[in-house]
Formats: sequence, structure tokens, C-alpha cells
Amino acid sequence: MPKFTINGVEIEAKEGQTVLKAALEHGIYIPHLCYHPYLKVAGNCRMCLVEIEKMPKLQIACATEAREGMVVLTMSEKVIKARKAVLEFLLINHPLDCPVCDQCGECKLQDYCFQYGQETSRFQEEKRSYPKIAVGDNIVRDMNRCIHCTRCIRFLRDVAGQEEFTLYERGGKTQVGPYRENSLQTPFSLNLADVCPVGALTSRHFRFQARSWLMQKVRTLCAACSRGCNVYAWISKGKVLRLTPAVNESVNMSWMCDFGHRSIQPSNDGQPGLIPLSGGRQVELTESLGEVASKLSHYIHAGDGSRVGVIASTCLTNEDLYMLRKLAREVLGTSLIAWIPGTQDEAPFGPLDEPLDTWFVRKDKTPNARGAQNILGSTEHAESVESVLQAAEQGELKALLVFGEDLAARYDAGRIKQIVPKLDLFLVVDARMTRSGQWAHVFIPDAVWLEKDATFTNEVGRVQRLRPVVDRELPIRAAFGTIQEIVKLVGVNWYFASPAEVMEEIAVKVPGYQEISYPLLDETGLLVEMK
Amino acid sequence: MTERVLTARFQTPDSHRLSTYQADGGYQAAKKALSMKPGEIIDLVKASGLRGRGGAGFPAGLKWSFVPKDSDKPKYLCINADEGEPGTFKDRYLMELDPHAVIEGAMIAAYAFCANHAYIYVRGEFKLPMMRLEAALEEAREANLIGRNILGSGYDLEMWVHPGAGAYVCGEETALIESNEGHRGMPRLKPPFPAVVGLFGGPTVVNNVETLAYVPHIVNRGAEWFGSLGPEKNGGTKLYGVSGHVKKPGLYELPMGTPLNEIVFGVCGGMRNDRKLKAVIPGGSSTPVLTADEIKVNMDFDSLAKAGSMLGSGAVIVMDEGTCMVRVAMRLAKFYDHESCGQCTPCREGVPWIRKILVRIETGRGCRQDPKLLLELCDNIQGNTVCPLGDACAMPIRALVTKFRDEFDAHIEKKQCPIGGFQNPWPSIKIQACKVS
Repeated sequence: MPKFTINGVEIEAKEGQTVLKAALEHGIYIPHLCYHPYLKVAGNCRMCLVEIEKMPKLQIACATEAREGMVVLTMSEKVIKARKAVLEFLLINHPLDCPVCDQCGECKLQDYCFQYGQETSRFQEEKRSYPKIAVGDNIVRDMNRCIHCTRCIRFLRDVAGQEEFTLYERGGKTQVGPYRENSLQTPFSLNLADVCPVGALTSRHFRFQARSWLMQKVRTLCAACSRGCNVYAWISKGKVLRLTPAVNESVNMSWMCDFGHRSIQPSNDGQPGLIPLSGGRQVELTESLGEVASKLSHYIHAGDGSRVGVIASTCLTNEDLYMLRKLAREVLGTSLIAWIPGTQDEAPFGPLDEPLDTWFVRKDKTPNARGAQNILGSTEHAESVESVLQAAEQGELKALLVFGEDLAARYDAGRIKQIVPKLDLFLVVDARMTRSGQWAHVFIPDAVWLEKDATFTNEVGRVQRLRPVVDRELPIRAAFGTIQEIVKLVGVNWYFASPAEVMEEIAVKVPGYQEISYPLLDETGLLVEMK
Repeated sequence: MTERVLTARFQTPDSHRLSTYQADGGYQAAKKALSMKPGEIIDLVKASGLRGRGGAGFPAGLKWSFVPKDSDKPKYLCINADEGEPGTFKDRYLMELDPHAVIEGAMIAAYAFCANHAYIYVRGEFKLPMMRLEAALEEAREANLIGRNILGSGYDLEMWVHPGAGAYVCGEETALIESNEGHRGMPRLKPPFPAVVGLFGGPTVVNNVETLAYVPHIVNRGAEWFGSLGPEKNGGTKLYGVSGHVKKPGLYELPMGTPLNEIVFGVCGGMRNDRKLKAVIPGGSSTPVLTADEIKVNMDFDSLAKAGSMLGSGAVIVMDEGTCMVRVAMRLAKFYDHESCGQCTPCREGVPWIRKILVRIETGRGCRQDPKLLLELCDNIQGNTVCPLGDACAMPIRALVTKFRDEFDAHIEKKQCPIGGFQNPWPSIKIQACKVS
């Protein structure tokens, strides 16, 4: 473990660590542009030049290994002069169009110029300029703003595995772009907008939507597949405008796929006026809850609790699933509880392409299949759904409660339609209006994932926190709240004040979850202990 | 006249053929070297003090000794024949007229640090040298001087010619390696140095053609003989390519340390049309210029370094009194602007800026603060770049601005070139002969 001094402070670096990494870890900031913690070092921006004693030239901190006894200066006169020089060089051909640039407010170049740059320009010559081009469906490239840090090239080559960007031309005319014009095959193209430290690569979907400082960001999870990437959801005026990856080294490093990036669409233009229905009639939430509760309590009193079937979706959170299990086992006493394994052809948010990449995107496009397996049990679930449906067909079921799933889409719609009249109660709880929702005797809206405060268990068993991002101010609550409300009307009081308390009970009741509690989940989540 | 070593066979007819070369004692050094231990050759070359002729003057034997002996990766020798420095024209003649000397030298060098693969990276425009090298390699292969079990020694060496694609920066060793691997020719970050991680990830030595051509002579005649040819630590003879306003420009082989004024006024017959000498660039376009008063300097690595310049590749560019120094600077900046690879910020942005300022000054649109700005830009570029190309632009420009400041000021004050003849505005630059009318 080499110890070295930086600005007079002795710090200990890890073996083989670079000066920049060690400094950043110890809270000493060295400005850098081309360095990205999860990309290979390129060392071309020359922004992180530092003075190291006994070395005649300034050295780049991002590529210099920290060695025992090194004396590093990051704020010496020489360093500040070089830093100023690099910024001046970067700015001479930069359009300085910050007021209309999407990166404004989160632009490293802007920040550094503000901090270390000079106020006036000595450059009297004409700036080079290029037209903007759309690169693929998701990215706009503005070469004028580019600082040639090659983060995009390195991301595509080393991380996404598809070398689609390159440098072309030479010297001052160097451009960064795709080999073929207007094409990007990679399913990770929106990461380019995230890795670009300036406004050269911006998202076509987010362009001109909002200024970064006028948005709030909330750390939550992406629900577009079972990988459970950590994301920041950026909100402006109650709308989620974009998702950007948040760092979690155990899950997604700092990347996410285009599908995930774009999975926010439904919460924006999904049906904002989703209203409870009873027999096709719009009703108050309390009325619909009351109707369900009265029917359920009727079955229980008649000893028909076991004649209620429950089908859950893997889009539900752990808390929702657990409440459902509790409802089925403790209140109704039914064993007919089934979950539908992660959809592969039908995504929660629209049609899907083939599985994109074994490296990242998962086939299973629902976020919580593992949670459902852990909480509801990994019985032969497909058969289990089948047996629930068969029971309903044979008229053995009084009621069918479906949570978060459109049976009409997943199974033969005609079959479902025939089942409905045989039931006394067909309840659908879903975040969107579906066909089976329209057929339901009672339809109760569920919150979408961006509104839920809950947890998902990702494919490898990592329990991670989903945080409420938007609040639609409608009489909509997460499924677990709906269930608790129904149960309360049935006459059983569970007293779960928050999802955290549900998780406390999950920790006791569900094997593997004993270590899990909200305060401990933090940002990285916790792995379920499997026996 | 001292002994000619490298150019001794240049006048022989068919000097590029194996038979001619062998008749003159060719490949005897290789035979001798193969009977020695690799370490002994390194020691011999180290003792001779042979310094790299590509420009930096790094001791060749020392470079070889940096190659790790226990590496499990294949080792490579790259022969840097990407002679791109403006003013330089020495390696091409070695390859054209004495290709076997280069191959023999390369073979001894490869044997010295146990490499089994060698690439001759030839500048793309050098068609004839490439053809000659290819033919020579073919001859050598047939004579079992290259290939498997060379001359029954058990040593294998394969050698290929790799054409460049016209980039000056590929003369920089790591850019050469990148280009040789088939990538865009951009210098790598150092460390790791090529001796540790080089071509295809293996330990690699990159040597200049002239350096390698000297190796057989050192093996044949010993370290002391080599040292005796020049001043201390600057042994051997050197190929000087003299161009510009002299009566007899050309390639001259002279002992290291020959005074520059002797080269200009003695060997090359003095200034053309007997004009006054104004300035000399002593070692290729990237070396700082020397004024007429400074040319008593000895042309070797250390003396020139002391004089504030560099021996570089030994390309002497002589300029007479009719030369506009602003235009010289502009021409150099144009070259470096065109050749900058665009990888790192100071060079990519700074060099075109310097060029634009110089065009402005030359066309009479300069401002009073421009010379100062130029010097500051040179300071900001030099030492802050990935490779020495930025330095190669900054050093001569700085020297030109400091040493000929009055000429720059005159341009700015008179709003035109006092010498005249340059009217074309940016960007359609066409350099015309700069002469007093």
C-alpha cells in the first residue's frame, strides 16, 4: 500500500492505483474530463496534469501510478497554468452556446471554466464548425461542442462491445462519430449522452425538455427488466423526463440500456385519470374497496375462502407480493395463489426486441420474478396458474383476484372471457387499463413503479430500494395498501404503517430475507441469503 | 576526408544486391554475432556508445537492455523507417542503396535481445526503398540469412516490411507500434514503455534505420573503433542531409561533431549565389533554429543541446538572407497542424491556432500582442502533450519568434511581409519561393 503526499497531505493508495483515483477517494479533487471511473484510461484531455516532485514534466494524474513517497502538487503555479492553458485550448473552438445547450448545468467543461478558466478569449480566428447530425434514433451529435475525450468511443468499444464510433480526420479537424453515417446498432446508445462530459452527444428524447438545475433527481430502480439497474429519475413539474444510470458496482456499474432509458414513457402519458371501476361504472375508491371487502368477507363467513384464486404479476414489489400471500394464506385460507413468470414476449411497457445482450439486458422484462419466487414459492408456477384458471373454468372458484397482470393478453382472451361470467368476483388491480381490466367486476388502479416506495429482488437475489418519484395526487395507492385496506374492511387489522414495516415482517417470514431491512439497504442493496 | 562507413557502398553498382553486399564482407558481422551470446552484443553496443539516430539520441544498447529477459510474450523489433521529418532524407538512401546493411543490423539487434519477429515500418511514400527491402529480404531468406535456423545457429528470425500510410506522427515509436498493429496511428501513453508492453503487447524495441545500419560495423570493428570516430559520447559518423540555399545540397556522411559552419561553407560549398546566411535549422524541422552567429557549433548531440538546439535527425536546412522567417514559421506550423494526430488537447487545438496566427502575421493582419501570444502558446503546448509532436512544433516556433522577433514586429507594423511575395489568404495556402525581388 504505497503512501504518498498530495498537497502536503499524506494518503495511502491501493496497490496499483493511479494518483487521480487515490486522490478522488480521499476527497482531493483533481479536474478531469476524459477519465471515467468505468472506462479505460485514455489520458488525452490533459486536464488532470499535476506536478510530481523529481519529474521534469507535469504528469497526468489519471495514468500515473501512485508510488511510495511520491510528492504530488495539484494546485501549484505550474499546474494551474497548465490547467488554464488546456481549458483555453478546449474553448477556442467551442461554440460557448451554454444558454441553449442541454448539458448546461451538468457540463464539466462549464464547471471547470468557471472555476479555473479565464474570462476573456485571446482567440481571434474563425472557429471550426460542423452541422449537427442525428446518430441513430436516440443521439444527436454536435461536433462543435466536442472536446475529443473519446469517452464515447471507449464506451462503445470496451463496454458495449460494439465498436461503432471512431475518430476520423486528423489534428484540429478530428471528428468523433460513427463509421457509417446515422447508424448506431448498439442497444446502449443513450449511455453516450450520459458519458459525454459536454453537450456533444445528447439524447434526442430529452433534448430541450428541461434545464438540469430545475429538475429534481431521485435515486430509484429501473423496472424494465430483471437486472434491476440503479437509476436517477429526473422530475420536472411532476413528470419524469429522463432516467440516467446511478452507480452500483454490483449491478450496473454506471450503465443502463436504451430500453431502460426509455421505459419512462408510460408513466408520463399513461392514463393519468385511471379511476376505479365497478361493473364498468366509475366509482369512488372506497366504494370499490368496500365492494371487494364485502364479497370477500361473505366468502370467509360461508367457508368459501379457499374458493378464491389469486394471480400475481412479477411486476409487483416484494411488499405487494407479501401482502397478497398474507391475504391468501391468513385471511382467505386459499392455496390457489399463483404468479406468472416474467414475461418474455410481453413487456410491462410495450413490445420488445430479441434479448439484446447477455452482458446486460435480461430476457425477463419484469423486475421482480426472483422476489415472487422467494415470497410465493417456486412451485411449478405455470401449472399453478393453469390450475387456478381450470378451477375457475370448472366453476369451482367464487372469485379471482388478479394483480398487475393482463390475463387477456397472456392467455387465450376468449378463454378468459368465458371464465368471467362463472365468477362471482373478478378483481383486477393494475397500473394500466387492460382488456381484462375492462371485463373485471371491480377494477382498482395500482400505483406505477415510479410512485411506489418498495423493494424489488433482482435476478441474482439483490434486494434494492424503489423510491417514490412522482405523486399523482389521485386516489391511487400501491397494491399493498389496497390489500391492507380491503383486509381492514373485512375486519382484520394488520397495522402496517409503511412498506418498511412490511419488510420487517418479510424478514421474519420469508427465508433468506432475515438480514434485510430498509435502513440497511442503502444505495447498493443487499443480497438475499440463499441456502 | 574521413572514412565513409554507412555510405561506403553507395557508389558501387548494384549495391542493393546480396552478392555485392557479400562480396564486400556482408553478413560476416551476423555470423560473428550469432556465435556470440546475446548479452555480449548488448554489452558491445553499450560500450560503443551508439546513440539512436532517429532524433532523441538515446543509447541503443541501453534500450535493448530494457527488454525483460524472462518475458513469456514474444518480443519484437520494429525498424523505424518512417522518415517523415521535413528536411530529412538519409534512411531512404540506406534502404535504397544498402538494404542488406539494414537487414543485417536489424538481425543482430533482434538476436541481441532475443526477438524472433521484426517489422520494418517504411514510410508509405517510399516506394523504391520498400521494393528494395522486399527484394533484399527475399534474397536473404533464400540464403538462410532470415528465417528458420539462420546459418545453422538455431536462431529464428522473420522480418516483414510494413508500409505506413502517410503520417508523420507514426515516426513516434508508440504511434508506429499502433499503426503497425493496424490501428489509427496515435501515440500511446507512456509508461508502460514499448520495451515492456509494445507491439501486440510484447516487449518491443524501436530503432532507427541508420542506428541499425551501424550495428554490423560495430560488431566487425569493435566498440573502440566506433568511439574514435567522433567526440566523447558521440561516437561514429553521422549522415547529414543538407538542404536549402547552399551550393551543393545533399547527403553527407561526416564524423559526429563536424562544425556546422564547416558543413555549410566547406562541404556544401557555401551559400548559393553567395548570399548572406541568415539561419540554419540543424536537425530537422522540429529543432530550434540557429542564427548565422550561432553556427560555429559542433554537430553532435551534446554540443547542439548545449547550444539550445538538437541534432535530431541531422537534417540541416540552410536559409539565406532572402528568407522570410515568419513564413518559415508559418510553413512549419502548417506541417505540424496537418500532422497532429488530434488525440490530446494542447496539440490538437494549440498547433492550428499557432498556424492561424502566423498566417495572419504573414498576410499583414497581425496584432502587436501576437508574438507574445505565440510564445505563450508554445509554453502551453510544450511538455503537456501525450507525445513529442507538440514539443516538435513549439520548440522551433519559439526559437523563431525569439531569435527573429524584429522580423515579426516588422510584419505587424508594416501590415505586410517586408520581403513580399505572399498574398494568398487563409485557407488556400500555396507557399511560393520567398526571395527578395
